[in-house]
Amino acid sequence: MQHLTEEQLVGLVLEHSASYQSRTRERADSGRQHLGVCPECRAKYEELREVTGFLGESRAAPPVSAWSRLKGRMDRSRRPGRDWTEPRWLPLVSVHLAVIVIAVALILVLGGWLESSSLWEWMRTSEFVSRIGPRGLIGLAFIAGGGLCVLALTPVLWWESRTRG
Amino acid sequence: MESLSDAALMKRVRNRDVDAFQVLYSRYESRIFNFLLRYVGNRPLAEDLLQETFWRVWQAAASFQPDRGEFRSWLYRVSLNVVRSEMAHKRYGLDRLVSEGQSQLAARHQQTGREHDPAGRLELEENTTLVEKALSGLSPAMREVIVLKCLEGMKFSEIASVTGTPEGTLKSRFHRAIAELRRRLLPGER
Repeated sequence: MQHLTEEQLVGLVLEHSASYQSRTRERADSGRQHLGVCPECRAKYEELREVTGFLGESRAAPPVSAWSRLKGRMDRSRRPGRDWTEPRWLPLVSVHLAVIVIAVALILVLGGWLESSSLWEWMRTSEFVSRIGPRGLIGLAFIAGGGLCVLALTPVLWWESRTRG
Repeated sequence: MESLSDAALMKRVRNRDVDAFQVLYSRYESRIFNFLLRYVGNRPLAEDLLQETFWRVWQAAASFQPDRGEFRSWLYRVSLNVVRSEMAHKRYGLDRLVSEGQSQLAARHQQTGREHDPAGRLELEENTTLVEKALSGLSPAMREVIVLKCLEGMKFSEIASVTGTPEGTLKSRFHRAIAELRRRLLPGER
């Protein structure tokens, strides 16, 4: 004789509950017959019934204003409609373009100042510069410029990611 | 709209149909609320978590895939994640939550029929408090399986998909939880 599974036993215990109704109806009859002839399953069934009987069918009523609160939150979260005549990438490009223009202007101003300063003279006569040569100097300038661009763009990208959610 | 299936409603919710979402909400509001209330034992918190659950459903409607499981399981999974993250975030102890909300819970439970009879009502409230105390003594994992099995009537396979725990583990957890509840609710026996 095959014993009832845990699933079947709980199903029999809860067969009158709203959650179980119409789900296990057809299997309940055969399970009940088995309980009549199997003392082992009967004991398990009684044990389960005692405990779940305490859990009962009590249901608390949900708050009355719950839906209106949720609806309010949904309404508040709606963003103003996007202007479809404006391409989506335009604000992104314009911000980045502004950063690049500022960076170039800064380089030109700094370059002008550098040329007129004694630092330029020092660099021309510097042993380090003569050792790395003009190519090395250009490479160094690229690395420094790239680093500056990354530093300038990081706060812009961070700000964008925050405002776009 | 009311006659539509959960999956059909979710398809509309994905397209931001508020009416479809309201139908789904009213279909599951009571179940989810009672699940949360049994889990945290604190009515104000359960109300907040109910709103958070359905808010996430609204936000993440596009991630629901009907071919990968029922809406009901997905919804309980969302709800369970909301509770778990709330617990982790606020570092609340469940026992503390239960003791905070126990009196409110007992007082507000609705019953059909017996609430009109003063003696029956008193007995009911005593039982509710007793059950909540017993449930509060269980670990969150045990409480999950008991609430989903005994109150929501889920199959072990469904609970496994909701909680992400293997069925075998759930069954042994259920056994231990029943034994523990029996010990607490019926101390004179065995």
